[in-house]
Amino acid sequence: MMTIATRKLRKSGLTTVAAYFVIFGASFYANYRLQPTGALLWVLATLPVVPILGVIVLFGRYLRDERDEYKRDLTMRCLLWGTAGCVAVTMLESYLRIYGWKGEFPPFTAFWAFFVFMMAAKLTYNAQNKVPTDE
Amino acid sequence: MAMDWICGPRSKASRRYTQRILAVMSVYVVCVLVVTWFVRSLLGAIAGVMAMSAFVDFLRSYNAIGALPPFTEFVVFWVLFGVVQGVQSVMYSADKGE
Repeated sequence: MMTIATRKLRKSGLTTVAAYFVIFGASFYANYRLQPTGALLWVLATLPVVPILGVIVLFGRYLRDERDEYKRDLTMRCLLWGTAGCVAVTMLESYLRIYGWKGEFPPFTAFWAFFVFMMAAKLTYNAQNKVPTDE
Repeated sequence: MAMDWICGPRSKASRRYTQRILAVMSVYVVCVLVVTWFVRSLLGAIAGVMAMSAFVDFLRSYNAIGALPPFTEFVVFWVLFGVVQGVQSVMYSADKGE
């Protein structure tokens, strides 16, 4: 059963993610067409960051508003797993580079690691706590 | 009768119970405060690292810059964590002073 805070997070989250894809597409297209340099390029790189910050703010608001302690704890654990994944990937790349590797991970690897780890944690917790239908 | 636990004569056991419950409640309040601060600091640090990482990755995908020096994200994460903790501590002191 979804709480009011969960419903609010889901609704605002979907809007923010939709905004992210629109802004990302527009920014990518503008860069492709204009080939900007200097300040405009930095502005184009800044715009898609705003919805990402928005998602984190939404999580903060959700943690403040959620009254169900179990759900709040679960969200916290998922955020911690996401952070662990993000930090682990950046640390791995950093160690590879200081040990002499000349390459780089593709852009957005840390970003994807955060969401993949967070979703994996959520699915694992959901599967672990699934109540059988005959109970 | 119902108000006996407040106004009635207090036994030794009752006093001990009150003292213990007050001690446990104080520990609980401190724990809630610390956990809340930790959660906020963590969210602030994640937000900062994600913003920086996404911004730099966009610039990298537009071929404007190369990768950041090793361990930049890690250092930024803990610096932001400390900064947010500090800000909360100052805000808490200000609230307490009022």
